[in-house]
Amino acid sequence: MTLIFSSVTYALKAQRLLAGYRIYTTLTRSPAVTAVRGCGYGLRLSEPALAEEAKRRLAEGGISTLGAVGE
Amino acid sequence: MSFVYLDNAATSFPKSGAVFSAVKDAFFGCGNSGRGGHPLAIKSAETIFACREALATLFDSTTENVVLTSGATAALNMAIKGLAPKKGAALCTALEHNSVLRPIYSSFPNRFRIATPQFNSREQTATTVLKLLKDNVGLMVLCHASNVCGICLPVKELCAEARRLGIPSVLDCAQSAGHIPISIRDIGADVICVPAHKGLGGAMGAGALIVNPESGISIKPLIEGGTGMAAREPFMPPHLPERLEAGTANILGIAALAAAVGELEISDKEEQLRQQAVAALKGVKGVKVYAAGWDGNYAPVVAFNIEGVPSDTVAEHLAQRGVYVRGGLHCAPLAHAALGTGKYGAVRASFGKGNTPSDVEALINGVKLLCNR
Repeated sequence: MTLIFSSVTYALKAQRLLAGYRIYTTLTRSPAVTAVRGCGYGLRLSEPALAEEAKRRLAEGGISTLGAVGE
Repeated sequence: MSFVYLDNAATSFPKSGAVFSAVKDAFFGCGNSGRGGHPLAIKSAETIFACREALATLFDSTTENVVLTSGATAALNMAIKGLAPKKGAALCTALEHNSVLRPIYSSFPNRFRIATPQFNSREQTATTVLKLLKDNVGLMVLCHASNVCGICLPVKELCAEARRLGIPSVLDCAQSAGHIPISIRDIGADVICVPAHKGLGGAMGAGALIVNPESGISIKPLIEGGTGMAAREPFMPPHLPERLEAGTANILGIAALAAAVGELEISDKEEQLRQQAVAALKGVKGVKVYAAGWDGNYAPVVAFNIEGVPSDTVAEHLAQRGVYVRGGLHCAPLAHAALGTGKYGAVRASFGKGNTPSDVEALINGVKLLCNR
């Protein structure tokens, strides 16, 4: 599962925030992200099962995602 | 030859070993941020983000509101031209550097106001600026501290009034950043512009435009181009910081800036040196110190002249004795006109974190030698 962000800045900001909740991610520029955004960055979750919690934590932190894609 | 460096308002010297190491690491280890998903591109992106975090913490903003630029001049041009309204004047002061004056002259032809400060009164200076602020102003641009005489304008009061009137405010913090604690939210400015290579201790060729997270302003991009994302979109992205960051980032300068801010310690050391210099210079017969009676804060800068000797001659004499200062107009012609030094400028000594009281003594000894000739 990869969460997509509007910029690499927001992706890295989200990565820091999620790490604080022990939700670990990898910054990616995968084809799935490119298909959605025409180039961009996402965060690939180490544990896809945490996707809903990750979205909730990001929303609480004021960081919006452009969506999520399964890879 | 050993020397005493007192030209920190131009650029700080020496830079630290940590800053040099950061440049070296970036040079050999970073790719192009935002342009790929391989490890070198990711390392570059993380280096840039670390710099945004450091600046956001230092200036009380947020990472996405830190726009990295090629310096304070670029940041000021971006802010002034990107915020220039179709109607309404620009307001600044006579203290401004040409990095503020020239963008204003070109973007606000025949519609700018310039407030002349009262060099002995913070309150009267504020009154002068506030009076002009109500005269159909659409943008206020102020230096936080003068690069000529060091006086710090009452920016908090002025920005508060500008916000109350709905006028965007931009602060040139070229001489205050790294020397004086700055909270953009507390001051209430919409934008602050900082260079990397002065008080912050970074390298030349980098700087930042920092937006107040509590501001609702939108800055029109001055430069458009690749951002490494949303490539199908015909226009620059709507969100900061990428909206104002077209093109490849200066990763070397940014890495240096992050390292410099990481080891930055703001103290009153430089202010004590300034006070030592002012007191000693005032005691030398034939020396005139400018704006020494300001009743507010100062950046660590002192301007003076020796009676009958052009400032560049004094600077040259001091350089021959190993004391490096700067003469001339310091790219701030109106400030010199207001101080009465518009023809030959003044000698400027400016202090940094590497200076000590003995450096001030070297300056004073050099000045005395010239006065006694």
